[in-house]
Amino acid sequence: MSAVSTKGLDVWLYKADAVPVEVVPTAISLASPAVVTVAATTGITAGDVVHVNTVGFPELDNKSFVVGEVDGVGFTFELIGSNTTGSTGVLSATPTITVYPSSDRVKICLSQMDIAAPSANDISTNTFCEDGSVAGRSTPGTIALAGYLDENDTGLDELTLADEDGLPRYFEVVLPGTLGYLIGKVTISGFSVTTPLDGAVGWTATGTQNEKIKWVHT
Amino acid sequence: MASAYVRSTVKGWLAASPIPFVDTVSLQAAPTVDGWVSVDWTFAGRERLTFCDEFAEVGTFNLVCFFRPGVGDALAVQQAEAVTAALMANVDPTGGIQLMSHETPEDFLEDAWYVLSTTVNYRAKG
Repeated sequence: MSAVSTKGLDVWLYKADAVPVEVVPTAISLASPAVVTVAATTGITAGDVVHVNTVGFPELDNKSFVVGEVDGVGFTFELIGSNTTGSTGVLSATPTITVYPSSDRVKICLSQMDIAAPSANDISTNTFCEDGSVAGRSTPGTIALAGYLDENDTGLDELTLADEDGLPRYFEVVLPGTLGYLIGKVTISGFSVTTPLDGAVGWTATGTQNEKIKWVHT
Repeated sequence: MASAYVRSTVKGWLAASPIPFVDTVSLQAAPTVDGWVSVDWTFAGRERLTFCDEFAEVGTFNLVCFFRPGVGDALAVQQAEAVTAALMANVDPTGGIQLMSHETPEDFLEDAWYVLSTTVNYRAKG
């Protein structure tokens, strides 16, 4: 086992007005990662986030991945984090994949980031005779972010905009080295400014995960 | 160790002090005036602020006022306080350095000089 420091970690927020590209897969390989064949790879680059709509593979349907290697000659691209090895899926009649170009994202400089997984609130069914519980309503995951106010930070501008418009955005963390990515969709719901007596003027923001933030890697 | 930017900015501000500023770091100095001020760079560290590799320099320096025998502590303290107040009033428009606070002065004798030393805390872009 090895531990990798956070040095080199980048955090990105996709713009709400990002213009996604919709592509139609003509084939999807049974591999890890899965390789998608399309008519043309124009507008697709490594690092883009994709959302796979209903393509007929349960391992991919309605899930998000990161584009890996793009082959502009063979018109293919990898879906980092996917594994269709042994899948019984068959390409559907109208498969589509939505590509969110990485050029539509802005970097946010954070001093702290906490990602909390969704949780289920168990309902107790304890009686005098025995203890027990049943699964209750699940609570979506959250994120908590913090940084310092900087009037030149375009990422912070996008974050405050996200707080105002309440629209879900893709949130992407590029982990150092070969660790891969954290991706998910979030809605920023709270932006506050912190003013310590002795120190830098900072901010905090919270958000709800509309699509669970997951770790994807090769 | 304080960065070159911090040193040059603070020295520039001290040039407008109520009493003459004399740079004594690695320099020969033999002031002939009754009272003068110098700066002693004591501590500076660098802290990582964000994942974007933004850093801050956090440090302290001593504002050291020297007074010739005969000046008297009342005038010396008054002048030392005026030096500190004048320095702390400075604002770097670029935000490169911020003088955060200062401590109360310590007084002691060094050779024949009556010395008042005030610690100043600062933050700077790292």
